[in-house]
Amino acid sequence: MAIDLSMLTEPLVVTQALEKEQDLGGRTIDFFEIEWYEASKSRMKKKTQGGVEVLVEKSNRETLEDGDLLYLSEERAILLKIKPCECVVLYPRSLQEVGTICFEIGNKHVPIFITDDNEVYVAYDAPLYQLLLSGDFVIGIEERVLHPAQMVKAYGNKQKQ
Amino acid sequence: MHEISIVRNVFETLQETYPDKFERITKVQIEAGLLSNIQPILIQNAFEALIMEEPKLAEVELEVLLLPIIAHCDACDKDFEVKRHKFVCECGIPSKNIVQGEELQISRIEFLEN
Repeated sequence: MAIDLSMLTEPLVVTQALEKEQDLGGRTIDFFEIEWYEASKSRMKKKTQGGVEVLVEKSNRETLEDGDLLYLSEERAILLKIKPCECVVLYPRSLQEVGTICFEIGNKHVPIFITDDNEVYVAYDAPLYQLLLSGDFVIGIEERVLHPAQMVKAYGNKQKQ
Repeated sequence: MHEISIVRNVFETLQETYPDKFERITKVQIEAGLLSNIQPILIQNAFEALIMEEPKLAEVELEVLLLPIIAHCDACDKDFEVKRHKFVCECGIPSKNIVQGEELQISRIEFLEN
């Protein structure tokens, strides 16, 4: 018998993302939406788009990623969705510009993201945008999803299995 | 860049304000206006670092709510949202009368029920 999860009095507890390669066919797909800066939180409670209360209480310090499978039953799958946000996208013309841009952004301690196509982007921040504009860099503002896996880490990026 | 001291101050304030109920806090919400110069990711990271120092805080959720900038236009006598730091009303008149956006405050606390 199908259970209406939105009627549960206790939240669904999620301690880690499930294996991704699972067949979700025939199930109701529900989304647990978070802001990009919440992916590293070890604890958060919110309602899914379908009204199910979920408590993420991580058993490890792994950062969640857009599309992570949080819950799976015969009727329903709950996926993590990182909300898109305005980003400053930078198009460096030389390696020197990459260095200068990363120095300016790094000075603000703001995370930098780099795509597989070597696009550099950061969450929109008005003072930073003005600073980069004044530096004559080629930049634009676009709505993007900030993927934690694309965040540059000082100690090297580790691919999630 | 000053987020670690902010997070520390938040929890010190809560401990002073709720000495008997502090350990029953389950969620703290902070409102940060876009003019407060606060980076939510740095607040979250600072909190995760504080948890390593104070493991009891792992039972607490810290939520940062970003508040848009709202200014008041005297000509139209109405408030408008300042997008991308353009302090200009849709009527074309600039305004520096900030109604919202400079806040940095604890806005909500949830406690474990008895």
